[in-house]
Amino acid sequence: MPMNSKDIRRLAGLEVNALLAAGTLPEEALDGARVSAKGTVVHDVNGEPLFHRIPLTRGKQFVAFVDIAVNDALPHPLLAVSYGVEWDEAAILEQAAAAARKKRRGLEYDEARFVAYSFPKVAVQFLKASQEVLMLEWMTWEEVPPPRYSTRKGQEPPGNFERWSLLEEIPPATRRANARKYLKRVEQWDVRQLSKFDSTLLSKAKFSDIVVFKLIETYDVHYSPFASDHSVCFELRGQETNVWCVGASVQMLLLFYRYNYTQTRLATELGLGTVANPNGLPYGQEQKVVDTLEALSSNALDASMIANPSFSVYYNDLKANRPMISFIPGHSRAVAGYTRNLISFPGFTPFRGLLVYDPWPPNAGVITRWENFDATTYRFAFTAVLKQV
Amino acid sequence: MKPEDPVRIAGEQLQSRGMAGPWVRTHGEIRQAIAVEFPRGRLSSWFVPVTSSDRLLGFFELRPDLTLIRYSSFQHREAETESCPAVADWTDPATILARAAKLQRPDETAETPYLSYDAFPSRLAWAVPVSVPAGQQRIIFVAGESVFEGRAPEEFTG
Repeated sequence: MPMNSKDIRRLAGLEVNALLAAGTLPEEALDGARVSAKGTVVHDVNGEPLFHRIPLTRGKQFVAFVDIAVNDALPHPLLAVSYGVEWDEAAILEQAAAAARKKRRGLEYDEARFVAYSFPKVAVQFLKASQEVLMLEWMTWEEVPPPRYSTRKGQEPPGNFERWSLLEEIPPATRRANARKYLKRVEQWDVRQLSKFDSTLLSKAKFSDIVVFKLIETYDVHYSPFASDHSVCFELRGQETNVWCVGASVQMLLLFYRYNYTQTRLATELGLGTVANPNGLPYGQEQKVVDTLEALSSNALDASMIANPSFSVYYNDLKANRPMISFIPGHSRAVAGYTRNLISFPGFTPFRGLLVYDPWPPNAGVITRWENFDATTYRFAFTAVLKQV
Repeated sequence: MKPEDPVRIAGEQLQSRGMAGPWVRTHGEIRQAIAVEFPRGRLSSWFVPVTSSDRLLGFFELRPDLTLIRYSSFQHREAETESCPAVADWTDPATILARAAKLQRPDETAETPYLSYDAFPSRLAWAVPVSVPAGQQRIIFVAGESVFEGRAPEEFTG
């Protein structure tokens, strides 16, 4: 999974900006700081690159460092944001070399690199001809003992000062699942709205401006596929009795296609009684909605009913400019739009909502913008596709 | 849980863009939250009115844990208030009682109304318990200008 240094810096900036915008990281500490460099490669004990440790700086002042996974065996690019200890790769390597000389007089090596010897604990590994000659724990400069895999059994956790490979201890199935999660997360950032955003700058205001107002996809139905040449093409109708929500919902949907029926007429078709003696639509008779939409449009509308509809059912039809009818327990409404977050912050459920034209309360109705899809139970969705020659 | 908590959440949602239009964000005023009870005494949700002078522009509904359920607007168009009911129709118990009197029989006594719903949470309405001297009780529902008797918990969509 090769990533160039520019991609890694961008990923780090976006992940930290997301935490800033979510209020998870302190604005006063990080706002205005920059992802200043590609950072230090930290390897797994088995030698594979594991993550980059990247300093966040404000001018010449060190602020914090962020660990960004560059190995998709880990499920998320963002591993940690740490304050309090400065990460200066060159200075640390100098300190490590001095400590090594003290430990082993005459130590010869041709490479020094960083290793997560017991993730997330980091050490400096000295190599000669690609073979380790010494490993010292960062900060304490204690020598990390050689591996002792053979003494550990099964799922027994590693000891306190024991080196172990994070990558080799992840089961293959988990590794595959993690790779899918990692890729999904990285792809989430690959949106047009962020293409001109300077992701190396940490700015709650600038990032929130894009996330809140542009990384939300919102759509409401229009008579034409061009949102700019029609506006508010769906009209609310209140139910004319306290049990005629189905009639009012069918009325609203048909009205979108210029079929103008009264609720009294629709009640006759749907078997909902009269204004003086009304009744609701009994459970099990939902097919009448399909039949009525087709009959009263002279079959110009091809209607269908979907039980337990998912958000994608609504999304696909609304995106195609087709209003729908939605049954929730005991009630029916028309739906004419949706909103959904294109991206989510870690730990936050992305919001998905429907634009609902609710015929309740009677003779008034309300427009609900937005109904939380994940807080509502949906029984049936009714779609109506206009037949074309 | 304090009644000011749903008010605070509703205020944040109102200003968060994407829920209400810019006119409501500027002119709308968040009022005291009213508990939606079902049955009486058990909190089902919070109803938080958004008003402009004496008109009810819409309302937020929040779960007891303050999760947003919806923002519902009586406005058919941005900045119009003609389709909006009087605030009192949805917040003033005296107004509710006066409306319920239409279906009240001469021997019935009305008790204090409470905001509730008719069989299903989406059918918000004020419940007015009325009782006769023999002790029998029934509920008259008032939803804005609409007054009706409570429906039996039959399984139908209405």
